[in-house]
Amino acid sequence: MFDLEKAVLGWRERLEREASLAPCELDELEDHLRARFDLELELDGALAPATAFAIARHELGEAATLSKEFARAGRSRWRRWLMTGWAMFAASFFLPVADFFFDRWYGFDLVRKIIEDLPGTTPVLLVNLAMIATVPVFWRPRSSRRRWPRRVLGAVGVLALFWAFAGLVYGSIQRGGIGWLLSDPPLLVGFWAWSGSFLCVATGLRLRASEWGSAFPRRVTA
Amino acid sequence: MKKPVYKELVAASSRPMVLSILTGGENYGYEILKQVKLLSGGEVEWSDGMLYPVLHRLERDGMITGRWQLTDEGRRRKYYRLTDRGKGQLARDREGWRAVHGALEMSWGGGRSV
Repeated sequence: MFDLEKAVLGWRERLEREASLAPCELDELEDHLRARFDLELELDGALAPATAFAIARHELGEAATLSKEFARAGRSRWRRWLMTGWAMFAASFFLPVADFFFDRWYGFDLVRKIIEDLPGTTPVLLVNLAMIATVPVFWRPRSSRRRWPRRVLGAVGVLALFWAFAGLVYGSIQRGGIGWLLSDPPLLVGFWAWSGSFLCVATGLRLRASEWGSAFPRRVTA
Repeated sequence: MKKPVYKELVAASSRPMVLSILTGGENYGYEILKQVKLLSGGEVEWSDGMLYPVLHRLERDGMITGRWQLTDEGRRRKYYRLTDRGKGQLARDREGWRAVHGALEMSWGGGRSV
């Protein structure tokens, strides 16, 4: 005996696994699949439901085809934010981060310093590990409903930038101008890349959650 | 039997086609696809799976906006409607396609069939 709900669930799971589509995208495709299934049965009353479902599924397209069509239409915005954030984060380890007393520090110098000075530098290490822990999100088919990771990362980015700006403003007041920022900048490109990367990834995670969220509409009018 | 319109032309016309259909009011994917077939007399063939990425791209670009609604059967369905930005884009697309169409008609002999 053909069970439509079971067949739809199986189709959905397969598509989720193989085409890595978001639930909101799958919801729409499922509605289409069901409408098509109804139409096939309407057109040919003698058609077996299993055959009607197979036709509807075939007409909608296989996982690879759908995945290609969605990819052609453009990647989701959250993917771009995440990729930009991770690229900035990775680059920050190879870029000059700061000049401490005329000694130029690169990102990896700071990592070495953090590891040497544990446990005092544990929070900084944890923050960096939290960033690395977001990488599997890109491939994970299901979205986490937890908000704290993006909030923590966002807060780190904001605090780092706030601290930096406050320091620069304080330094400028002390030195009576901003000329020193050009001649002897204390914070270098690696620092800004590192701080900005947290904001980018937090934004990407928030966008991803909102895209997935539309599969569970809060307000339904009907 | 006529050959269906080739895919590059189908892809190029997808935006004005969807936007034009939505000028008739709020609609959802499956119904939009049926309208495409109806309007083109079956000559423009869209694969079922092609429509949704187009709709999502248009939504991302702010030309259409979607909202989820429950159907009578209790199924979730996303309805799309045209935004002001979409209307503006459609007006520009219409001008462009008319210009192309006019030029081709002229080059083919003032509208006579080849």
